[in-house]
Amino acid sequence: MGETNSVRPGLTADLNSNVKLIQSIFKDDETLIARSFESQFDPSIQCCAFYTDSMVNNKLFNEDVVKPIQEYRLKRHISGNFIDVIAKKIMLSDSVDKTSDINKLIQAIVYGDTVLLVSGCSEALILNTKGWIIRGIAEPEDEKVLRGPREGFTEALLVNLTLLRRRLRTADLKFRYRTFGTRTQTKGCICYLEGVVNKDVLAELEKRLDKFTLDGALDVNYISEFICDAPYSPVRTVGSTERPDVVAAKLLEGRVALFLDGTPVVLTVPHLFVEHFQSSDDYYLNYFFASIGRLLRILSFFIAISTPAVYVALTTFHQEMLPTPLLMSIAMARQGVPLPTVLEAFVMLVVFEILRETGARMPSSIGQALGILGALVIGQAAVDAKLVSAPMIIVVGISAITGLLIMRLKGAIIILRFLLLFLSAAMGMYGYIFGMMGLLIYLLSLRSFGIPIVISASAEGLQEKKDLYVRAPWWFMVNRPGSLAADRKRSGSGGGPE
Amino acid sequence: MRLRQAAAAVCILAAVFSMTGCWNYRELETIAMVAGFSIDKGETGSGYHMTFEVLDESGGGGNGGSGSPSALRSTLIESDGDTIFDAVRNALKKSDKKLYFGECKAVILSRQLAFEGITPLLDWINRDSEPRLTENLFVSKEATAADVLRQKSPVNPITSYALEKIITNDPDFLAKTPFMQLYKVNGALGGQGISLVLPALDIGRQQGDTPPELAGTAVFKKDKLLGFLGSEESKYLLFAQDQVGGGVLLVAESSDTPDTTLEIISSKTEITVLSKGGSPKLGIAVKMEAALGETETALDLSSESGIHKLEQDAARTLESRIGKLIHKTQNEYDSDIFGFGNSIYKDEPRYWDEIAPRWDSLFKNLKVDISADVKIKNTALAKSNVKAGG
Repeated sequence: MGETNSVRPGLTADLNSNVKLIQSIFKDDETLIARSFESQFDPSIQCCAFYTDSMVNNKLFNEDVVKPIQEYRLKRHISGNFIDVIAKKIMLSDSVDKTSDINKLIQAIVYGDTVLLVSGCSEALILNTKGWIIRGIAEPEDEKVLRGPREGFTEALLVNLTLLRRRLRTADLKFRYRTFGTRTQTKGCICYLEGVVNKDVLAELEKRLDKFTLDGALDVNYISEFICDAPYSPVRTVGSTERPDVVAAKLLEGRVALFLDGTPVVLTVPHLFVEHFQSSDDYYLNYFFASIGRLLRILSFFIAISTPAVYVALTTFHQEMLPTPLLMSIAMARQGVPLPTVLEAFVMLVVFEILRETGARMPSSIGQALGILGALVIGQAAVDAKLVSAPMIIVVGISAITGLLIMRLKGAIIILRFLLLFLSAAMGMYGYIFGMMGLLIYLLSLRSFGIPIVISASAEGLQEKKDLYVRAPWWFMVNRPGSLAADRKRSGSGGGPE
Repeated sequence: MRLRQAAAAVCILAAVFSMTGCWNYRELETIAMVAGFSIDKGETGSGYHMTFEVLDESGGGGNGGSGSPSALRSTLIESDGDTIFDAVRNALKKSDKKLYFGECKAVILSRQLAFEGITPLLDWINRDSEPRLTENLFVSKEATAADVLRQKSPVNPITSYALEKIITNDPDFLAKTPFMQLYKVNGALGGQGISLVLPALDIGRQQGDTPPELAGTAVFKKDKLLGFLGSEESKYLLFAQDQVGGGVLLVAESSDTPDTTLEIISSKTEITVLSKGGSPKLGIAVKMEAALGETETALDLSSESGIHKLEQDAARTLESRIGKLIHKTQNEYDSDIFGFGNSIYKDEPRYWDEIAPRWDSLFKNLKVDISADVKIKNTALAKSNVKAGG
């Protein structure tokens, strides 16, 4: 337990010295409550309970801790360990731990449990009285579905684990606790399905988690940056979601999930490139509709990174590739625009990124002002004043909208968009194609926990492609994705059209 | 190792930037798009006088005003030079924007230059990277080619683009002028046993306006202009060349003047070598499907024999007109514009090798069997024409 793990005096049989010890550890922490009470039948049974204010359920504390001691006809028995008697015969609490480890006691106090000290005992009881206020279960903002389950994870680890457990009622579902953060002591949990999970990935994940220490883990991203394969890559190689149904589906495909207390976001590994384009809607809606949606998302990714680059390449290098009427209208619109096309594109893209960032950061109550300013000033007025040409607004608009469609890739899209724009500005279509080839080679080289993130695109056989560009009907998806799962069989034969 | 990788990356990037081929960055506002141009003989008798029809990007002279650019307009730039390319560059004496030929769709050659030979004119157009091989070539029947380019077309504000559309529509709806793009011209000039024809242009007359219009065919031998065929004659040239995709065929049913119009649905011409030897003989077989489009006389359309008679008459018209045109060409021009030699070359290459040197004299006396087969597919519902007087 880090630097606080200095040698501390242990508990003694003297209640007063024990109370003083704990109070000295929590010096200057006024949320620590010490409640002293005694049995009404034997005043020699003195007790003191410690807990953190408002982290316990007061009713539980009153009923399960104070009441039994005060009201039970308790006599100090001679035989047996007195603290054991209290733990076994008197306490009503669902979880009672006996310990003399002072560090465990501190952990229990800060995590909403109650520590009960009894006079004459050199051991203490830890009683479960956790009861802090948590946010309700709600649908995640950025993973909404048209139809399907609407539950989302919350910030409480145990609630999250129950949400997952309710979907996978099997003993094969394994939960392994871990602690992250030398100071925050945040609880985390690795989940997987025994028999389905790829053992290599699981071992690799644990190996990587063992490798680093950090001060505090407030969100899974703290951890994800330590364990991902390509830390400098704009493309993520670790997946994240806030939906329990998504985590359940990923575990069923042989992936491993990492929960962290204090955040509704759950990591899943390995994470393939195509997962950026998958949505839970794909699996809950008709497969034709779902497939169209997915194809649109993949198309949008290419449009988002390409439009400004291709526009610049065509209008400044390859005018002959544009049809005459289009070329003429672009030329007319560009009359009197001061900036060269490349700079014009660059400026407009930066302006859009600023608008987007503003929209994400500012309070929603002034959103209307931004909308009006963005549409009128940046759009119409800028064109009328001949600061930018109208086609450029359209190009940046198309690129921006398609880029927002795939929120999980937005970082990568911004970087790729500017990169391709500069390549096009320097070398025209040649530069653009060069950039796209570079992107493809780079993606092919990326691994997520040892598994190539675009392997299934080149995999042989329809079974491997069933959930890639399109979502195949469920009766067709007989096998789990290759290279992910140990047990390939997803469903038995039967079903589907005869 | 890291250093070596970095060095390799730098080398690759350097190679990428140095191997871009034509690095041709140009903003749209620095170029003037040429829609079409004409070539005339220089005013002093040597060199060339060129007229460029340039698209006006300012959008109808809107003086800096905001909002939507109005309809397209074009302006003319004239320049002289000792060579074509010289004249093209001399245009920069007058234009602040560099001429751009990627959107150029019509080239009008003057009659005078065509008589002297068009090969020297085509070299720059073929050699330069900007003009396309699909440019349409025309020969002006007027005094100068610039005269034609200066006229405004009634519907399209850009004369060159109007001419391009007119000539592109021709094979499908009119079939009265050969449709010749630059690559086809190159093929005809370098081909075996075929002479070049080009569409001809003149200035039409209509009330208060003088639009450019198609005016038949310019007939060449090698690269020199010999003369012109009229629009009606050109149609039968196209039949012989198998270039008809539409248009109408006029038939005289009850008098000497045409009174019945057939709309051509499809037409297929096959040229076969009937006999070889000292004097070759060719056969032309035209298979045409048509619909009765209009008739000004009373035709018997209710019986099969009536329709059959019409088919016979149409076939006979085709045969006699094509024959007449071949005869005229043999006697007046002595130039194989039908590509008969080319047909022999394709069907009987060995035989062609034998007769190729004598082809000019052979063509003059070439015997051609013409047979036409016309099918009337429909006559519309009207059985008879409206009768006067009742």
